[in-house]
Amino acid sequence: MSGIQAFFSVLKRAPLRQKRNFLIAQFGVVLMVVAQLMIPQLVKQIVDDGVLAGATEQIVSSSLLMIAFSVANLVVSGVVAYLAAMTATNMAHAVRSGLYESISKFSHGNVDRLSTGKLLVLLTSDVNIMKSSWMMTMYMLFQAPWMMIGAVGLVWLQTPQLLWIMAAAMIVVVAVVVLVAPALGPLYARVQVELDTLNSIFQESIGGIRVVKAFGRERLETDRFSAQNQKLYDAQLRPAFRAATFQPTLFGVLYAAIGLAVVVVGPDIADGVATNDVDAITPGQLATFFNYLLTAMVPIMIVAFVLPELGKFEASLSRAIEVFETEPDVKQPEDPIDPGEIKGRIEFRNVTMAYLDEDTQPLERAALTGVSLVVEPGETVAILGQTGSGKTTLVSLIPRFYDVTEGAVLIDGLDVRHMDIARLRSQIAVAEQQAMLFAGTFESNLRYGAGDADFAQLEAAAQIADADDFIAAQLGGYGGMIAEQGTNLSGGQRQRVSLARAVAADPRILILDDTTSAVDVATEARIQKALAAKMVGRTVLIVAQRVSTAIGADKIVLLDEGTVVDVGTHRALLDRSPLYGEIVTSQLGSLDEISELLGKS
Amino acid sequence: MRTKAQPTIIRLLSYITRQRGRLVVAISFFVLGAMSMAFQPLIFGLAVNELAEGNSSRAGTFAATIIGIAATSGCLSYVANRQLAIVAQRGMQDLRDELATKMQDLSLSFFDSQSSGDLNARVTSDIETVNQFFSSAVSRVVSAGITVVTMLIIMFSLDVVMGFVVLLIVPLSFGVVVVLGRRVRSDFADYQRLVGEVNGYVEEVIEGQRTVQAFGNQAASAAKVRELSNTARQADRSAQFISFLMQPTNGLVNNLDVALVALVGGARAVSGTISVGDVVSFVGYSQQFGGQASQLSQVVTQVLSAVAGGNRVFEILDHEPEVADVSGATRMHTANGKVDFDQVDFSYVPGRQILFDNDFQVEPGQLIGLVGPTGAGKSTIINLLTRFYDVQAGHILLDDRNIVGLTLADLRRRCGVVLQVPFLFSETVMYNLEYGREGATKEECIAAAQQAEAHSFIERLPQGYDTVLGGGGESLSQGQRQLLTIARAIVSEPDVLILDEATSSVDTRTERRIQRAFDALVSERTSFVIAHRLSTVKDANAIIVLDRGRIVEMASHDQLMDRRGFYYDLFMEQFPPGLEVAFAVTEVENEMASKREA
Repeated sequence: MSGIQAFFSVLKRAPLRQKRNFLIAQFGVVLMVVAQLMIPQLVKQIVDDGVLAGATEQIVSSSLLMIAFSVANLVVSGVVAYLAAMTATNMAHAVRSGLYESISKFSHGNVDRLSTGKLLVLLTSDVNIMKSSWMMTMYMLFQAPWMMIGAVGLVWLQTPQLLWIMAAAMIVVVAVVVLVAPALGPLYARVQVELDTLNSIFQESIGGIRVVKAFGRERLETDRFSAQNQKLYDAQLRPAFRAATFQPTLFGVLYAAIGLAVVVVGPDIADGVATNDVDAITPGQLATFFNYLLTAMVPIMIVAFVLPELGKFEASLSRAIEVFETEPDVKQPEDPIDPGEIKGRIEFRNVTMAYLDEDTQPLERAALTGVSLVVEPGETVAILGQTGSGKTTLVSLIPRFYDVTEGAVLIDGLDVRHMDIARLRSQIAVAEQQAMLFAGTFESNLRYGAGDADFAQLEAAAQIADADDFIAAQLGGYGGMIAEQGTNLSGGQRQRVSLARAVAADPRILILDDTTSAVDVATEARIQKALAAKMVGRTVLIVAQRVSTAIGADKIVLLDEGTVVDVGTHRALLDRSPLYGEIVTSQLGSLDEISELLGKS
Repeated sequence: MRTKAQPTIIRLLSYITRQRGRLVVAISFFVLGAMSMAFQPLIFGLAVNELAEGNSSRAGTFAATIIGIAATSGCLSYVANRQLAIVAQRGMQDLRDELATKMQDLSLSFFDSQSSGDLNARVTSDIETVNQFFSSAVSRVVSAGITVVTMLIIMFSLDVVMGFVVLLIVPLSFGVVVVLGRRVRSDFADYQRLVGEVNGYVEEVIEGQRTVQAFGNQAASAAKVRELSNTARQADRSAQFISFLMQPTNGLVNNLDVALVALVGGARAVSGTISVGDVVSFVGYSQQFGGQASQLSQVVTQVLSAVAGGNRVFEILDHEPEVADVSGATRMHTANGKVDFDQVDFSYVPGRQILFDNDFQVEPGQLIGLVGPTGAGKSTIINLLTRFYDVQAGHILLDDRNIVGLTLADLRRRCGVVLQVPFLFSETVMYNLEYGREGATKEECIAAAQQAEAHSFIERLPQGYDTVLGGGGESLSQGQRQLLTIARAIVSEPDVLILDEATSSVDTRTERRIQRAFDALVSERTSFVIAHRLSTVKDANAIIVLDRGRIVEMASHDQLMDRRGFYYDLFMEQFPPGLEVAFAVTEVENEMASKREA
């Protein structure tokens, strides 16, 4: 029954207009049931008063009436179907757009913890399930009680002596439904799970096709697929076998009831005919009983059919609610302060940052510990360190992608957590290592953070990122298309477009998170030169893997295991930091080697 | 071999006719069950007839017959349903397996030419239309078809005229299905397309959620989703509405027929042509017949969409892989690692040539660096050596044998590749390591992980080597993923090792730590290393310098530096201006410091 509760809880939250539509539709449902009950009644009239009595006029008039009812049924059904389709699709639309709106507010931490695959399933198949089960519930399920009451009532009125047969038949069918149907829901859910797993195995083997081929493990992939395919097969048969009992049982019970009825009232009918007793049960009434019996079975089957659907509705709804109720980790402060135009002084004051686990508790192992650091306005600062030393984490705190666990990050002396998020982020641009581009033109991607910048500004940004040449060489130039996730570009090209996008946003603080890792060194040097000219007076933070990326910075921050081990210029660090010396020589060769080379040039 | 001219429907059915025994049992039980059910109205009519004549002596017999037939037919159709479910699901299983196997055979060029969304649609929703066809349409055709035929025989043996009156329902209900069905199909197609757009966009912005947030475009993407979803809603509403109209419209048509049967039957009963009981039977038949006829016509819709879906699935099955074993391909159990590129030309897309006349020789055991600007064709050379693609002109030889004449399995087994993008499977760490070579032992995998400096971080994972990497290792850093892929390549024990930017995201300290592993790896076998960090390839026996698809230089690092050509420029650009000064100053200071100490 909780499926129905879920249905009404959604209805309760629906706009008034949808509630009204639901009520009108329910009124229509009653009319539909009346029409459907009247039709067998009229068939009976046709048989009894028309055919058996040999009265053609009666046949005509009853037939016309029956057709009129059919037409009325069609019209009312049409109205109900329209209202059901409207509320169902409106709900789907509202859930879909509402879900995405919630997701769009999620911060990086929420995204880390959620699988994007699950979110997509929620927005696609769960929304679809909710829609179709809503439609079925509204159109079909609520016919069931009325139809049952009507059928029983009519049998009681016309052939009360057969009522017990009907009751017995219904009890048997209900018993079967109760025994079989509830188990079907989980069985179908199982099928869906196995199917989803199969599809993800499939997608993974396609996504990793190069690896599969490189190691010649095609057989392993097909075996993995086949094993899951077998599981799906087994899962699919279980509900199919159970459901196979429905139809035979239903018809068995139906005809058993008819047979019983023939035996029970047969003699009365024969007597009635023989004695011309008008009060006796007629052959036509026996035929009608058959029809009512059928009518009474229908709602039971509807319930059996729709209830598992409502179960799915409830499951999908609870998944949706989970997303709706997820609080973004990073929230707008209650009294946001507009920072105005940022000058660009960044201070990390004794910052400790630990990522959150599934239960949004900070992990034991902090990503940053006791970091204190000041970046003056207009400075270019490079951050160097091993994989996992906390470089990305450090810069992610500035635009509040994550919040600190302890300490504070201040911009121009103001804690970022007190600022208006939108105003803060609009003045900071980030170009990430894994450049994420969107399907669309080059221009639309460059404009992504630039609002109403004119074309010349976008072009200038592309020039700075050394992307102008290859964009111009594209079919359609800046109007050329970027495929989903930029798959038609090389890694280096994607990074340069993403860098251009960040520059085009004309930020006060620019953060480059290993943005040029896939760009060759010569190009990188060109980019840095152009960038330095453009970003005069702005603060630039560069997360770097290569020393060549960091060397020209005003200062270099050395991170190791989440702590700042040293800060200084290239020269100063070369002098005093063994760690830095190690990094430099490992990448550029030993001092002697370099001096030798430089001497040669 | 199957012929492509074979109609899709026959080809689809071939998947279920493979289960001949079960199918015969299922269909014959269905036939028997449905035939016996078709007698029910007749017997009921006879019973009513006799009762109407005031004779109830055989009521018990009639009742027993009705119940007996229902029970028998119920048992028969239960067995038939079960068998048919098995047949249908086996057919689906076969089709899916074939498709998965085929996918693994297809060349990379096939995947380049397909959008992943379209491919997904084929293996999910298109396959589902076939599933619907197998699991429901087949049984509906069989049971409705048999019922209809049996009823036709009985009806026409009772009275031909009445039979035709009942039959009138067929064109009527077919008309309904055709008219409404066409509308529903086109609305559904619209909806599918529009909702596909919504889903595509949603997928993109969810994947790019960080970027959306970073540039503060949440509201804009939410508005776009709302707008796209709203357009889809309108098509959806119409499709849902009309598909729900189908049933009451059919009901109306059916009732028209019932009325007609009653009228004609009534008239014929009055004239004494047929008995009143027969008319009652006919009224019953016409009620049932309508239901069966609309079932059959709905099946037509189902068949049509299964044919459309099946066609798209068969398109994949019929696709010939471009890179495949040639007939008479020979085995190669081990290789010394001599590699020759002989005047190789290549383009991924006709008209955009990537490699021009690439010509070079590599001796066994040599370490070769591949360098050059982005887009120079470095990765392409590797794609050709492993036959991910085939050359358009020229030859590639391994140990003096043309690689096209070798079995793909052996060629790739001889080559170990670490790709630029570290791809891992959403299975355990151990699974991913064992992936490198069929039959690799756990000990070998752990040793490989130790060599690749991956052991210590693997041990720190919650379940160590048995930790399942969700989402292909989402939770690992890019560098950790690269270390795992390097370990995987070590496990594969290749004769030719290929590293495509394999350490770009590994920091230099770790890189230095795995350097020993590398040295060991590289010393025993021919190795190709692509790297932006030129320090990575400095010790190579030879460095191939590529620029816009042409080999511009090939020599050792020292020779290339002396030559002061393209490579020299590339190398020198690593050192930003100012570095020279910095070093000069440092050296002076060092000198002074040492003098002071002296």
